Amino acid sequence: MNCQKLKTVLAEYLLDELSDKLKRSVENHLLTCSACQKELAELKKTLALFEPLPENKLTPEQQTRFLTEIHQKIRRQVQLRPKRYPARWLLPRLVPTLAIATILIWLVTLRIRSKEDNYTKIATEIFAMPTLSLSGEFVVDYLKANSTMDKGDFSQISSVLTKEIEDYLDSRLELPDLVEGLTQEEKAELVRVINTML
Amino acid sequence: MDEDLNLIRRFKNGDETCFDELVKKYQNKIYNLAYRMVHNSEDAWDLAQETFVQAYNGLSKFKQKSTFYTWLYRICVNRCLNFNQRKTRSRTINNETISEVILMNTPARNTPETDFRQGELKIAITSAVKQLPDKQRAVFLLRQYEGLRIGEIAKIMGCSKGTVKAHYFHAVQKLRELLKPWVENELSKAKNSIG
Repeated sequence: MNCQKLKTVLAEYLLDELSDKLKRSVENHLLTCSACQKELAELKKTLALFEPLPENKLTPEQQTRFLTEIHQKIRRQVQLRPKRYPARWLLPRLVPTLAIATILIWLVTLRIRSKEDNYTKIATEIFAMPTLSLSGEFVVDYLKANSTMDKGDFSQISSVLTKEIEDYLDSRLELPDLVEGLTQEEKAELVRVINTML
Repeated sequence: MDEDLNLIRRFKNGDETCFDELVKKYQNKIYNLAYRMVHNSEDAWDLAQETFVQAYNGLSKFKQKSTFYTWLYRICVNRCLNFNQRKTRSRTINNETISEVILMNTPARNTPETDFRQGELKIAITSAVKQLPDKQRAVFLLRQYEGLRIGEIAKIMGCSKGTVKAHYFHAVQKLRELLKPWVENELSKAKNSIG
């Protein structure tokens, strides 16, 4: 055994966990090496400093309180634990899935309905406002002037009317705010509704 | 150990009072371990209780692969290590003052000089142990105060025996440096008594 080797087994020597053979080998080296003796003596003295420290013992009152509080914590934990139903893996998944599906269906329906309602409202408002009654006047004048037209010409009226309304919507000068921001597709839908009303 | 196994068996068969027996048997040891790990009596109190609550929850599944106290120490050490880690992260370490720590230890009935010296030594020791890294401190405390063997400590810490030895050796080396004046004093006293 040399100093280097001793350092590798010093922890086990201090812990008294060396085999008898190795222990003897360490002790033989210590007999001849003052540096290792010093090292070991310092480590042993360090450990010896810890020995007189007493254990903090809980008083009997503290021991009773300690146990009572543990019981309380366990009870609280049992109360907080969620109730378990037979199909416990299904219910937690089923309820949110159904709720989300219902909300989605409701939103889609609402959107379709509100879109239709919105177009109807816009169309009604356009024709109700005096400043915006150009389309209505145009239609009346046009119909008066062409009172003899037959069914085949109606598509022609419709297309003229559509264009007139599109121009009108594009100008945006006197349109209410609610028409603003409509996409081309929405404008086309609006025109369709107005046509239906006419 | 057989007594513990017997209590656990009875607990598993529905006798809840056996759990109380286990708490009574180990509460001092667990509280002390927690206290030495976190250096705060309130935190140690909570951590020791949480250790037993966790043990209560897991006791029905306890497989007896290790002894009950090794298992209990493992729960406690892990809780303390996590606690210290959280505290370090949040940087709100609020340790008790060293004088409070001394107050917690049973005062020895000695002469005023001896008491003063003992007090100073306790301050130095507490401060030195506090400065050890968490795992080194855990290994050192389990060995020094609980007298556990390397194999048991390795099971508690969930690491190899080699790692435990390394932690222990580094801890002792560091403590020697931190307590140098006390160590030298003891050595010179020893020399004088021989001379």
